[in-house]
Amino acid sequence: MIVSRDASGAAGATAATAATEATEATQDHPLVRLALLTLVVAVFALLIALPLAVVLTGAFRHGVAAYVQRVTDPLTLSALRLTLVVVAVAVPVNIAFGLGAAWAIGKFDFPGRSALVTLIDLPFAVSPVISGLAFVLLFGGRSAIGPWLVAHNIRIVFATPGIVLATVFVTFPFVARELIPVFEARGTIDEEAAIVSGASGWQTFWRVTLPSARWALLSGVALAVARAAGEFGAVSVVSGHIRGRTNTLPLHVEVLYDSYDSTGAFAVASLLVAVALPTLVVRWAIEWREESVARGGRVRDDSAAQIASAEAA
Amino acid sequence: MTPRGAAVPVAIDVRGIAKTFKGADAPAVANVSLYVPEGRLTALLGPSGSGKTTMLRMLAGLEIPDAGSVRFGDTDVTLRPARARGVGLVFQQYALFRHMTVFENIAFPLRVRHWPRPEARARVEELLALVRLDGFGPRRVSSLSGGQAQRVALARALAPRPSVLLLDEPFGALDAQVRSELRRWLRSLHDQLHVTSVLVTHGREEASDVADEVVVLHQGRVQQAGVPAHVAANPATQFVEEFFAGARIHSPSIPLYAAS
Repeated sequence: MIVSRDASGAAGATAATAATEATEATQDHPLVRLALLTLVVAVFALLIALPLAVVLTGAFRHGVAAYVQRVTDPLTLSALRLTLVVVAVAVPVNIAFGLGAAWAIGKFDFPGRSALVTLIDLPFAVSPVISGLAFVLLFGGRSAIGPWLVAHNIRIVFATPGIVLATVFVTFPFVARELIPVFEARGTIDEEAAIVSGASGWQTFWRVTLPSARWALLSGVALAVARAAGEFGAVSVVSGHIRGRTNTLPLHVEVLYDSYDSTGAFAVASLLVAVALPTLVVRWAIEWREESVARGGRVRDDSAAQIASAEAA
Repeated sequence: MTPRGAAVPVAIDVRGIAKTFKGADAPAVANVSLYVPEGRLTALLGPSGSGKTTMLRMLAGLEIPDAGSVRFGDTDVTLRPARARGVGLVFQQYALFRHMTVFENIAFPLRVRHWPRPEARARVEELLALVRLDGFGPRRVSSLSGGQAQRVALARALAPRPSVLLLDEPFGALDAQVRSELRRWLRSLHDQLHVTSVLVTHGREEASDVADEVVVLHQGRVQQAGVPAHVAANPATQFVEEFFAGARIHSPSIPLYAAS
């Protein structure tokens, strides 16, 4: 309960009573609350829980053996491998870019700063299909540099590099978006304290700036991983759908579904759910931790007593 | 400065220092000179916007002055970067690293200077005792009260045995009672330390309680400098007279010394 935060010493009980009354005065009728809560739970069940349940039941409809067979199918395994490669490349790249961008935006004021903030959000604003198309137009055979790429045997579009590029683009905002508010809120005072303490720029970044944002970073990484593994639209355009070579897990789900193998589609989909669930757990753990830190609240200042007692001794 | 030996207090000698921030129509600090003898504590006193914090930041190396010079003892540090000045700085808002424990905060200046671990540990324990927070080492910063946090910040600033200690409104965020206790304690602590200090404050009584000498600033210029009781009794300008009007200034129990 929030009240306990201010309830120190003798004033505690009175403060608690006053706060309870204040809470009641600002609360809605119990029926209204019940109705709203029911609505939220119903929408959640219908739109999130039910589809998830359908995926899992669909995957196991023909038994565990059929599930295992679909999941260990060579085409599924190659899709899984490609997805893991894409995540393993795209997420670190975005950690580096996101840290750099958030650090620059959160800690400094420079010309073009607000333009950069808008640019970071661009992948959220643009449809993923258009993002994918942009890469095809940029690196495809009919692009300006297309003939040169072909001549030098560099394959970007319809190959892993294109899929990675499209994924990096689509997941770009996640890390930066999580970090910018943290960096902005804290300002540069920690860095100033570190520098005056004798730290170099490098030491300041690794020991102060980065650790102070570690939870936001973890949260952003979790989101980026989930999105990188699950991205469909942009990847679909650049991949070329070469089964066993350029199909990622989401694309493979579509292939299976289109070939009327719904058990296979659901089985592969369950793999993607397995990627998403740890993400949720990480996010949930971070939020739980932040709440428990916030509950720590105010501490009574007994500095005077501490100094006095030490002086008397 | 010797890295690990006892600090040798140095005089702070500021001459004709000036700073105008980009886009500002008036200078934040205009041609200020200041002399703090070895081991003394001087308060920069003035209302907000008087340039006192800018002065302190220039002493710390966090701002580069447009003109003038800053000397610590025989060394000209005007253009020396903050990390190489060897000053301790205590911020109004503590600026403790919240992802570190109390111990790690105080050890930070020692870690970045690559002190051997046993030596750093002993130094931190010594400082925890000095600021009356024995046993607080493993505590989280978020579990500290304001007065405790500020004492940890003081311990961190003192950790590498700086010869210059800078305090920016160190009691500004504290409750009134804690504030008055802490400033009396700081005064007695300062007498045991071999450090030359500059304290920024807008509280004339605070300045008088703690400092050997006050420098009254207004609109980036020195209005008057001297022993607190003397300044209060003999205001040199109308601003100083109004600023000290009604203040209770105790006679100093400390010996007078000549201001340069």
